[in-house]
Amino acid sequence: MLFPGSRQRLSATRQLRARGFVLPLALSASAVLLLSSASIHTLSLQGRLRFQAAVQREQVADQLRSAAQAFTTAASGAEACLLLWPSVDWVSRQDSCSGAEPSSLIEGIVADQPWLLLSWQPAPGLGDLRLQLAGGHRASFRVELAADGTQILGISDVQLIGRDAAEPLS
Amino acid sequence: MSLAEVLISSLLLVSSSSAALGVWSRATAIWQQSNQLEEQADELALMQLASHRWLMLHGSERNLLRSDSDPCLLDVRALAAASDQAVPLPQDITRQWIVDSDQLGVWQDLSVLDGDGEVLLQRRQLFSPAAYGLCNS
Repeated sequence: MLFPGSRQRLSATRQLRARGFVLPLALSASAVLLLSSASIHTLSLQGRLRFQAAVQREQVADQLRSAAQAFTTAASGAEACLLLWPSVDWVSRQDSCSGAEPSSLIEGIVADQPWLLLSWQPAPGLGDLRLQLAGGHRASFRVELAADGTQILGISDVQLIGRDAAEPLS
Repeated sequence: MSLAEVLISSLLLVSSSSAALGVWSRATAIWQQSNQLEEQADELALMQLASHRWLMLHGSERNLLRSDSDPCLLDVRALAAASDQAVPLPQDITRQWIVDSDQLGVWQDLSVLDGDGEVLLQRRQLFSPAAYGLCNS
């Protein structure tokens, strides 16, 4: 049993609660809608950024592949004889290869992109070629050699071996 | 619950819903476009690898070298004809073989074009006959 005064206070409280119910609900729902759409948009943009980064990686890999192909071109003339020895010995072995110029195998430019030979290491039937681009990206290639060791028969796909930004080409 | 409160709440919900729908549709469009580009990028990578493997395995079976030059150079026309036959392209990819200005080899340009002929994606790699054992040292 309620007193008349209490009944009036309860009714007034109910009216106040009912009046303040819709607007906070609408505000909360709007906030949820906007925040969720912003999250989805951020996720889609992150996906796009990941794709662009992958495209850039592939372009660097293409530049390294092209540099390796240019190396094989340079190593197909008089310089082919240098393939018999590791690159660290080329200067001392220059007299053994008449007309060979080690500098043409040590560095070059492919489509305005300078490349540098890091190392050439021959083994029977195989060679390990390591190159670096001006930006510091490095890669290795497995090179198939003829029995005489002076002719390249094939080249593997690029194996990226990391980027050395501390030693950029001059 | 007054009429004004209901009106303001409705206006708020309608405007936030339409804004959210706009952002969702934009996000969906970006996601679909990214997926399509990723598929096309995979196709380009596959075509490039296929060209490399074809030259590795079968380059010596065809006469792909220029006969009128002293240095060992690839014949672009012969290469284009042979590669079109051996490594056919999907409809949305175009290929061009371009002689390197320094005679280092031949560039293979693989491109995905949009409806207006604009390049969406491109892969470019130099191919040297010396890398595939086609040149006698």
